[in-house]
Amino acid sequence: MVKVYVYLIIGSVIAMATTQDFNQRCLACHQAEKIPDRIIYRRYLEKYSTHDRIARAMERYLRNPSIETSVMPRPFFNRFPQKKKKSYDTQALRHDITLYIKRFDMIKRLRLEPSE
Amino acid sequence: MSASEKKSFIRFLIIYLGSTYTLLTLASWGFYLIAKEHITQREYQNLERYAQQIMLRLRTLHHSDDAILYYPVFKGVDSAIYDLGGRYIFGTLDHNLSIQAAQKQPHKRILIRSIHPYYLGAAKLLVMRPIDTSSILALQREFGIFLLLSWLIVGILGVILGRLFIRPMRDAMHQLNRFIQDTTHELNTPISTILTNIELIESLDKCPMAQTELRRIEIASKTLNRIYEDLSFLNLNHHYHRKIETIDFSSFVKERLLYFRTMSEAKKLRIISDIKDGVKMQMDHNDAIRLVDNLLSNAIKYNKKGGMLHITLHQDRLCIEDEGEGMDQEVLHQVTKRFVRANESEGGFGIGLHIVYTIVKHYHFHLVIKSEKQRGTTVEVRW
Repeated sequence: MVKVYVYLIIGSVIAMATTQDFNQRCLACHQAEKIPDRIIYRRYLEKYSTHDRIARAMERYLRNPSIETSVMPRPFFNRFPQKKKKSYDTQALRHDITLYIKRFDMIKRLRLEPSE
Repeated sequence: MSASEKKSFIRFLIIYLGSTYTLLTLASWGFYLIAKEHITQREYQNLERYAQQIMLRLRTLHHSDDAILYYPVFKGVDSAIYDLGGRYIFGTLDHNLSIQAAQKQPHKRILIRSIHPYYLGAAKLLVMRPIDTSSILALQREFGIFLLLSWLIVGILGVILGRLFIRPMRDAMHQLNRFIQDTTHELNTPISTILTNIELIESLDKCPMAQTELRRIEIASKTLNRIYEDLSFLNLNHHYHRKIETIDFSSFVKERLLYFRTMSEAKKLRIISDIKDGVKMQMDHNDAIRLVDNLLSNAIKYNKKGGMLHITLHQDRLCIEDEGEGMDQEVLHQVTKRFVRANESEGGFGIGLHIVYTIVKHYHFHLVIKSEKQRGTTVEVRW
């Protein structure tokens, strides 16, 4: 029983640490520049449908950010800055994308309409 | 209605009702299928309406910032959304149910619509509803009632038309029967006079020189008398009051042989009789005469000159065998029908064996006719 608690605590600590990393690596800058993540995720969702396809499309953009590879329309970049090209560790990038998708996923907000 | 009228009437009804019922049923079946298709189409139109409403809601939900997004639910309708990979996203169906498995649900109307852009990631929308069996059952009931009523009306119409159809034939048959009735009535008196006078002359033995001529007159008169009796039997259509009595059939057959003696002698036939004594029969006397006389008369008439005539009477059967021309096998199975003649060489109406068959059938006897061309015919009545 003690072992289980120990594993749970270690797991939670790791999860919190990775989330903190994700917040620092991605969202800190997004929030500072008031990037509308919900709208961006909706654009990905309505264009790519599945999480796998969304993740691939995000990775493609992040590795080579440009107006052409972006899911957002051209006028979007009149208001918000274009992301700078950076080099990423593949594993960390994919992990952050998964966390991003999880964070803004809309399906978890869905409920069946209560019957009248 | 006579047997032939009944036969024609039934044949007409079978042809008329058969063809009309077939056409009516086929037409009704066609209409039923069209009506059923309309019901199905209506159900799909309803599903389409639900699908449009759900798609509109998906669009609204997709752009909503609410913390909880309410997926639309309609009473009696199941729906689910699937992503581009066919994975279940959300809906009222079991989340383990793939789109392929959902399509195979029995007794359901299923509609699948593609969604683009993929609102909430949904690429496909599946809408499902149980098949409306009550409408189909109501339709089947309506068509069943319609078919039954139309069959009834067509049936009544068929009977009326059938009666109109056979009326000319019926009139002709009545005319023919009246003619036979009149003819037999007119024949009766002179035949009886001739026969009575011949018997009188023979008993008085006043005219020994004219014996041959007398015999000829006797044969002719007896032939006429038999024709008269047969025609009367047919004219009464076998429906007359029968007086069932015990007949000493052995004596009776011997007596009828004696009656035909003059005819058989004229043809120089060799008569071999094996008549067991004490054979008793329960039947009408006139029927017995018609039965035995027709068999004996045929065996004599169609026998060859100087041929053999074999009569056997046992407790269970009467068998009459001749050495005549015989009959073709194809004629043999029709020879008991009215007015069918197996041999045109001798006179006759083709009613003798028909009368025999009618009597045999009436008493539930068995009739066996065997014949071989140029060898002769054997007629056996078993009881």
